[in-house]
Amino acid sequence: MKFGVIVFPGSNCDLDAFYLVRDILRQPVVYIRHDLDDLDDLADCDALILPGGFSYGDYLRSGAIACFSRIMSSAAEFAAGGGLVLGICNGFQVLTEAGLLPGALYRNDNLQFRCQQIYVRVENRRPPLPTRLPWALFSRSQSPTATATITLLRKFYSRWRKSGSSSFATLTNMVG
Amino acid sequence: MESSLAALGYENVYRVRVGKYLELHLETENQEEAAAQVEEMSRRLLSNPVIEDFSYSLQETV
Repeated sequence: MKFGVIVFPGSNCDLDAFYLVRDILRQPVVYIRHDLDDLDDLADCDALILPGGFSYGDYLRSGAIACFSRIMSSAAEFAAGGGLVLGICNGFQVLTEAGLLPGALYRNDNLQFRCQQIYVRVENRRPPLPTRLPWALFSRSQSPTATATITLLRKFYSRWRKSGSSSFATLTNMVG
Repeated sequence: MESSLAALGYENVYRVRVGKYLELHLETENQEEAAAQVEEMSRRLLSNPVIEDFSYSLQETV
C-alpha cells in the first residue's frame, strides 16, 4: 500500500507520518508538496495522509488557507475516485474546511487544555476503519501522541488490506 | 474572558464574545459590485458558514 504525505507550509507532523509509514508499517511512502496540482503525482498512491501541524500558520482559521492550496483539488478528485484520505489533527481540520468532511472544529468553551480519552463513533456504513471498540477509544489531545497515530495508521492499513473498500473516515464524538 | 474580567473586578460584564474584524479595500465600479464580492468571499473563505455568521458594511474611499 503506497502512501503520500501532503506537506503544507507549516505542517510539522509530516516527518512523523512519513517515519511511521516507512519504518513502522514498512510501506512505500512519498512526500507530496502542497503546490503540485498534477493528479499523476497522486495516481500511484493508495492513501493520502494530511499531517498535523499549523498549515499556513493557522491564519484565519485552522486549515482554512490550506484547503485552497493547489494539491487539495487533486486530493478531492483522488477521494472521489475511491482513494483513501486520512487527516490527522490539523489535516483533519483541512478536510472539514475543504468540505470533504462534514462539520467544523471550534475552540473549547473555556480556555482549559483538555487531554483525555474519549469514545468516538464511526459514522460511515463501510468505513475503512474497524467500527468496534477498542479502536473507538483514542486520545483526544491538541497534540496527539505518536502512539495514537501509530495505532490509527495500523488499523487503517490492516483494514484496507482486508477489505479494499475505500471511503473517508468520518469521526465524531458521542455528543456529535 | 468573562471570568477574567470578573476577576479584575468588572463583575457587571456579561455576554462577552470574541470575533474577527477584517478591513478590505476593493476597486469596483459601484457599491453593488463590492457588496456582491464581499458577500461571496465571506462565504467562501473569510468565514466558515458552518459555525460562523458574518456581516459587513461598505464605505467609499478615494
